Amino acid sequence: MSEVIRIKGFTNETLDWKAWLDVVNISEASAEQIAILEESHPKAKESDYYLFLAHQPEILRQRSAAFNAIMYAPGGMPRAERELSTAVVSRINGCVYCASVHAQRFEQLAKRNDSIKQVFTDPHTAGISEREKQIIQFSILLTEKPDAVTASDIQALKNAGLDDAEILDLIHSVAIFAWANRLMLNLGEPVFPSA
Amino acid sequence: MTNLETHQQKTDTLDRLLALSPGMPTYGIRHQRAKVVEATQASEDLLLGAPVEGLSVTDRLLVALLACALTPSGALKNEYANRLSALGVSDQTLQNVASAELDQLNDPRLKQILIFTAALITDPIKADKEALLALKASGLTTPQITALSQLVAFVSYQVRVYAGLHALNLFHSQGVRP
Repeated sequence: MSEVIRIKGFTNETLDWKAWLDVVNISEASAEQIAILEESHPKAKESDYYLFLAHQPEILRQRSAAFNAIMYAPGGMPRAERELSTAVVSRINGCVYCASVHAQRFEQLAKRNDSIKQVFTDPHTAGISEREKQIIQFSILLTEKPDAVTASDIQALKNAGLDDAEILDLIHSVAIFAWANRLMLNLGEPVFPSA
Repeated sequence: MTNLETHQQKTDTLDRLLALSPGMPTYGIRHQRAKVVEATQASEDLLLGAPVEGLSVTDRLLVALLACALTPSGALKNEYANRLSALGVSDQTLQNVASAELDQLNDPRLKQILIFTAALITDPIKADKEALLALKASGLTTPQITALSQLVAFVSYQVRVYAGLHALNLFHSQGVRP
């Protein structure tokens, strides 16, 4: 990272994460568990998070299939904007760990960190362009009040230049972080680098 | 229409609830991300249909019902209430859970599971280490807690995919005046 950001308890520093309950011992894992860990994430076998979720390997397999298809599939909404929306959702839900990871990914893809500083400071006013502002507003609304989302919110995204495929990717990105944030928040806690 | 689309149209919960069918714009957009559609339905089937040792389908559907009631998400709440009715769960129990009146429940283990569900839906930061240890103390194993956490988190995802697609479908079916 070119610049360390620390705003309102959120950061772009690399954090670790520790599970509160027992994780799967990799030396005792089944062949199925190992295969699913390997297809979930390149470093899953060293990660408390994935080793905990490996207690239910088939459920982890489908979660990872959804997650990876949403975040990494080609086409549709640019990946930097998917990362921005997930940083917003993580900021709203209070998931410091997820926010740090996706702040870094945004910066790697967008080659700038101004939007992340704004999101950490106040997500409700964040965004360096009308398009970013609308992506962020929609991310907040779908996170906080899913039943209040309506056709006029889609119109606002269209007016800001998003097409249907991009809007679908935005919906999926926001939704998958309702899922990811809850696992990260309820199964363990971030570990900060020692000062 | 391919055979695969025909199959998905018959078995996909969100397409069914949204009344999406091939030829509709929102159906076409959604199914461009076929892997997401498949993994979403496969997750629901695993979390709410397949056997999970120690967590009955009924208990898991009650978790989904409470999660949807608290979010709130009317369409999915009705869906899970209907599935519970079909399994013979009483209207009184459905009403107690859907209105989060958990003190009315006789089963202390189920009650603890639903208290955890409510915390994780309404204020995920409050679903903390103490909440997990309370589940352990009520007799759940770590694999059962893994399945339960994945279930609550999945329903949080599913209701938002539904809500987004619902709005997109409204946009395409009604349009919005400038």
